[in-house]
Amino acid sequence: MKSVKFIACSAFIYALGARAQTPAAPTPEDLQKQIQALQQQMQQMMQGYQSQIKTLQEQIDALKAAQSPAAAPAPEEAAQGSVPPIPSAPPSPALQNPAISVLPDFTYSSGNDPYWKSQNAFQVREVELALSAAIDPYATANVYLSLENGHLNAEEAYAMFPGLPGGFSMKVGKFYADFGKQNAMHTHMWFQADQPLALRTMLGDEGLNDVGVSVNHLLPTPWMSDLTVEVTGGRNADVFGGARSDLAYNVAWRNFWDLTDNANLEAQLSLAGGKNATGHGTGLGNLSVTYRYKPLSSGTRASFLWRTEVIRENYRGMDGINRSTGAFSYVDWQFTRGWFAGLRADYAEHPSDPRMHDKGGALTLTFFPSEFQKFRLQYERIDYAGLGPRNALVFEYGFAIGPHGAHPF
Amino acid sequence: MKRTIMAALIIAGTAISATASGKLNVVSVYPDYGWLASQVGGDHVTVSVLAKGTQDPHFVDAKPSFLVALHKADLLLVNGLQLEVGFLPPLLQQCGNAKIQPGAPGYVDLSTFVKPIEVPVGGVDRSMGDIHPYGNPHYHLDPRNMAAIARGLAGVFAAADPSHAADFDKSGAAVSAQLLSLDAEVAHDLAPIKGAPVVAYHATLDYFFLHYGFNVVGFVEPKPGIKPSPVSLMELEKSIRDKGVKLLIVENYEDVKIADKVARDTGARVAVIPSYTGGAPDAQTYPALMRAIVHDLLEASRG
Repeated sequence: MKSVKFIACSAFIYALGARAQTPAAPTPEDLQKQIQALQQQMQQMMQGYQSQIKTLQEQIDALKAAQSPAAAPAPEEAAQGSVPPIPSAPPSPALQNPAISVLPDFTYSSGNDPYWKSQNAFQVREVELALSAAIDPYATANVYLSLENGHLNAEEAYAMFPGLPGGFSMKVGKFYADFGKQNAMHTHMWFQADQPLALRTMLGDEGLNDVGVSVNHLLPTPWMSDLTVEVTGGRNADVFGGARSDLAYNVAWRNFWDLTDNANLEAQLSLAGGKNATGHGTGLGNLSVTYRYKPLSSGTRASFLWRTEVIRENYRGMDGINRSTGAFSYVDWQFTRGWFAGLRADYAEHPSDPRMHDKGGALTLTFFPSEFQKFRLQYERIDYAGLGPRNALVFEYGFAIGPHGAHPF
Repeated sequence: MKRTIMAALIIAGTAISATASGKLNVVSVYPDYGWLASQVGGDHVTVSVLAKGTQDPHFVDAKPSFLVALHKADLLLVNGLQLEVGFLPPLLQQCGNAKIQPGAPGYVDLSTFVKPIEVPVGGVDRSMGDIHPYGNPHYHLDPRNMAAIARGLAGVFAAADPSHAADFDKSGAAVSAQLLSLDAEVAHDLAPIKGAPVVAYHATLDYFFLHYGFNVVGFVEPKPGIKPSPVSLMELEKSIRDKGVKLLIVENYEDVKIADKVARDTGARVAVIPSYTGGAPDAQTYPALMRAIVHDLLEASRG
């Protein structure tokens, strides 16, 4: 290394010497001219650099301004002293992990009700794992995995495109159909410990939940109104299940009115159709009405909700059409902070034989110590197909850890 | 390629839903920033507000009727620091408006214009109650913050509507000056009770207390967002007596009955205050809100 440097230095000195010796000795005037020329060159270079720096600085400022719409306010007081910098590590890639929440639901039940008797007395009914994150600037992903009886299912897994051209929004993946309000509610959001009888009997334990595409648009009405159109694969053991190419369709027309600052009314009509396992058609209709009262200034301590849904099913089988109707109506009344009392009435005709029907009801008392856990006591009395009332006493406990945010209203 | 197509779709969508009236369509989640946006934007903006000043800002319902305003908004003004985390995300996913999605220029997080206080050092978890991991979100009760936001909004409006940039700049400076003089007025009016030990219900007024020199001895809530228990109230009453607290300050959407009981037990006086613009009949503008709070505090301290 040293020898390389030595050779380079020698060559440089030799070159200088050679250059100095070549021309005749310059006159003082020549030297003066050369110095002036050099000075001019230097000045031009300096001016060039200065203007380049100025342009670059302007570009930096413009970029900074574009990043934060207005410059952050200057710190109020200039620092008077200085401290050594604290050690730092590279930012963790975990910052870009999806938001992860876990929501287990436990029940204890006793009594002679066949629905509850078919389940363990104490059970972890479900552990929901909710993951969400922006996929990129165009879409957000929501994935809800559900661990039930040792099986892990994707309860929902979809991408949401919130701002498509023309004001459309779109959902792609597996999701609950927008068929009434209750169908799309996850277990931990239910107002009672179980689904209303009409949903269980007519749509099956999983409800209308399938893989497909859902497109939504607001309607230009004076009140809030929107239309959702869904096309799915038509897989549902109870109502749909035709050939591979037989898709199912659902159209939901939702309307919402603020009656006062404290009260609102929501009405939704949903119509769904597809081919069933017999290769014939199934038509479904749902009319859902919800009234909510929640005083603005004391809404955390008092509220009231009343919801009624009527479901109609036309199932064409090998031997004609079965027309069945189901309905439920419930109220949930918050009487003090964290405490809710509820009542539900149920009615459901059997889609396989509408002459038979189940009816009953449930009483609930629910306590939320915080938004993140709940204790519920439920008494349920149902008469299945006129065979006499069956009773169940259910205790439910659930909690949520993680940032699991708000649900759709 | 896919990305290009998607970007083209998004841009087309944005162009289609551009405002027809020529005015900027501004939606503010909370009324205080709605007032500010009207002041800074003047005739060049139309402003609508989602939450009401009479309700607890943490528990706003994600009502579908909000979607109508969000659907046509050019700019959405959010408080940030996770105050809206309980209701805004599903509304944004449903509103069908690409312009105001997080990350888009129309999503304006006003907390970027202020310096948050009470930013937890290290991890936070829910055993601490409803701690906001990015700091106390109730920064609007310090008029200097509102002045900084006024200047910030002028820049945001100018970027969105450059043809009126000069007007926004001028009104932003004027509103900012007005807010700074409001600040001086409030500081002057509160001078008689400056330094007083107080108890508050929730940390809504911490920016206010810090700036105007109040000594907060404790909160009715044992932890943020957590309902007081008989034991926590006994401890609070003890420290009220020990530290000679005469003033108990409660936001008017909180449970005033609990505060009244503490006041009865200890001899302290309760000031029930509005804490957001529109929160009381005499607090329909932001300056009116600040004056109403000053009035209520002075009134309660006189007894």
